[in-house]
Amino acid sequence: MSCPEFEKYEKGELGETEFERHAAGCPGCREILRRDAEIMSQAKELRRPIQAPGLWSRIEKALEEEAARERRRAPLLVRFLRLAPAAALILATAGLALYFGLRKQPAPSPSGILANSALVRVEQTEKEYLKAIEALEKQAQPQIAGLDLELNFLYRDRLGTIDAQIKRCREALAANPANAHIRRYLMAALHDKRETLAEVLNLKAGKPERT
Amino acid sequence: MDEEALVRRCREGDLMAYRSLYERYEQPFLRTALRLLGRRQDAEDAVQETFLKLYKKVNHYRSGSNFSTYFFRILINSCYDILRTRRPETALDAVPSALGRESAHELRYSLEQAIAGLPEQMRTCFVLFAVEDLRQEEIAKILEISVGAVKAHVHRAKARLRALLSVSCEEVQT
Repeated sequence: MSCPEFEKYEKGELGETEFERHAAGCPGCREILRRDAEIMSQAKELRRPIQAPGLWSRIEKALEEEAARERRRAPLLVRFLRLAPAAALILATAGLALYFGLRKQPAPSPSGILANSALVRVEQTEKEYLKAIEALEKQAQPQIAGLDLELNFLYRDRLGTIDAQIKRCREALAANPANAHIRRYLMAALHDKRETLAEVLNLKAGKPERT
Repeated sequence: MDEEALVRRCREGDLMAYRSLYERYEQPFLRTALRLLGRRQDAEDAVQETFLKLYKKVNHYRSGSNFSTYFFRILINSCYDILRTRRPETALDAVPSALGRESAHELRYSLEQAIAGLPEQMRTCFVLFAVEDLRQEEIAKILEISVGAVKAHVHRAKARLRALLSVSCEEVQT
């Protein structure tokens, strides 16, 4: 190939658009472009699926081993420091609750422990919230079943994780019903579930959450 | 669920979030690693290493930046790490030999073999652009090079592949 325009193109001195314009009137260069297009189209064919049975199991095992190693490695101080932000948040929340509680009630209950009357109110609210979520769940379940496989798996997985959190909170509350912190975690999990179910309903209504 | 939410769950150590990411990235990662490394086992090792590195570094990821770019960069670096531990000649030795072995095609380089013969970074650019359909801007961010450099690599890769494939065609004809 002895076309000077092609040589410029090869050296990168001539852009693709200019070369295409030139190639329209040059049979040799047109052939180059045809072969480039063929290479690009053959390259797309290399996108065939690759089976890798057992790869996820190996990755999962490696992640679990790494997590176990990390737990063993972390000295007590590091573990404390990791928990420090969460502890600070809980203390701040408890402090605020105590402050406002002291202002409103003449006989405050100890921090993190709900007084009997408060407990009754919380349980009532929780029951109403649960009823609303159950109704939402009834609407969302058939819609989840109708989603494509990937989304179906993702939402089932997410709801499964939230349900497991709710279950753990309930078990903890059975032993200590007046613990306000566990109640707060439970409410957060219920809120998360409500948001997820609403997301499913929005998804089906043509408002996908993905960007 | 969007990837930012998955990353948040990964930070909490939620294995199901890693599983969801695996389902999204398994195929592009395996394909890319296989084209860069040539061997199935190495490709699987690179993908496994990528997830392990994500687990260790997930707290360093800045929310709001492009997660896909970040994740692909980990994969490419894992592939390069594996390549560095190899003898230099094995990248080509390892190319699948099953393709292009019949009748008149015996002497013919398959595109797959020709790609394996490209220099490392040129091969990476070509595979991400031509096979995985990534934008040149995205490739530049993954490899931390300029868009101009990506364009030049893709351009030179096409020229080399064209030359390699036409030599093999001539060999078949003679």
